[in-house]
Amino acid sequence: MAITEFDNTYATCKFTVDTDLGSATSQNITNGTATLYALIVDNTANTGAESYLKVYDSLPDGGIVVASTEPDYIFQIARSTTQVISFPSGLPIANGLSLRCITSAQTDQTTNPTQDVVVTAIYK
Amino acid sequence: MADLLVTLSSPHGSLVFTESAANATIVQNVFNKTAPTVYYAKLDNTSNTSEDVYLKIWPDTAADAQNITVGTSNPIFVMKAAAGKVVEMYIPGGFAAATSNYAHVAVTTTAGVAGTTAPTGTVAVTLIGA
Repeated sequence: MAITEFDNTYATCKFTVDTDLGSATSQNITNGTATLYALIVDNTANTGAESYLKVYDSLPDGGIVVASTEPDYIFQIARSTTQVISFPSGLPIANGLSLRCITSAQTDQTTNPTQDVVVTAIYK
Repeated sequence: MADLLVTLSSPHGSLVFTESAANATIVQNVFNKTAPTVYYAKLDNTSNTSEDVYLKIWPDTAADAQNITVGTSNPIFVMKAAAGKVVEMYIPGGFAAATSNYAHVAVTTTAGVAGTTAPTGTVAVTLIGA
């Protein structure tokens, strides 16, 4: 993963961009409580397979266990597509937003997508 | 009072599915077609203040969802609404079930794949698709 962050006092919202989100959890990218407005998932590089974005709003002791912690949200992202998932009213994040991307919705799945999946989260 | 009736020339989602009391029993073939696309989902948990709930969507080649087991089969879509809250999600590109697959829906009290417990309170679901 390679995460960059936009956090500017002149702007209302922040965003983070992970240019290669895989099975390893990007944990608590909001640094606690937040309101999520959009997720943008670019799966265009994976022309042969769907990717699955798993979204967590939990901070269990020791962190999210990739093979067993159940996600609060699962989104199948079709092959060769970019998907925008928006929450215009805002999605409350109570604990901290964490993200993973793998090749199946299965709980114990830990396989990275073959090609990079770029995930952007817009929040405040 | 001014009435207005408009026929949309190019609606993005022409099918609306509503379930006023969703539970862990699967609702089969919610869009009454194969390969539906979901553009909007609303999970209204405002009347159920005691627990978080999770809307799950499964694709299946059978219209009666005979190959789907709630709590075991992998959903392609999971969406949470916290206790007493309503969540609206817009997906302009749409979540599409594969060719020859129908979309089936249930709501449980467990995140992710697992869980077969129905909400104790009333939970409403709205899906708009095509």
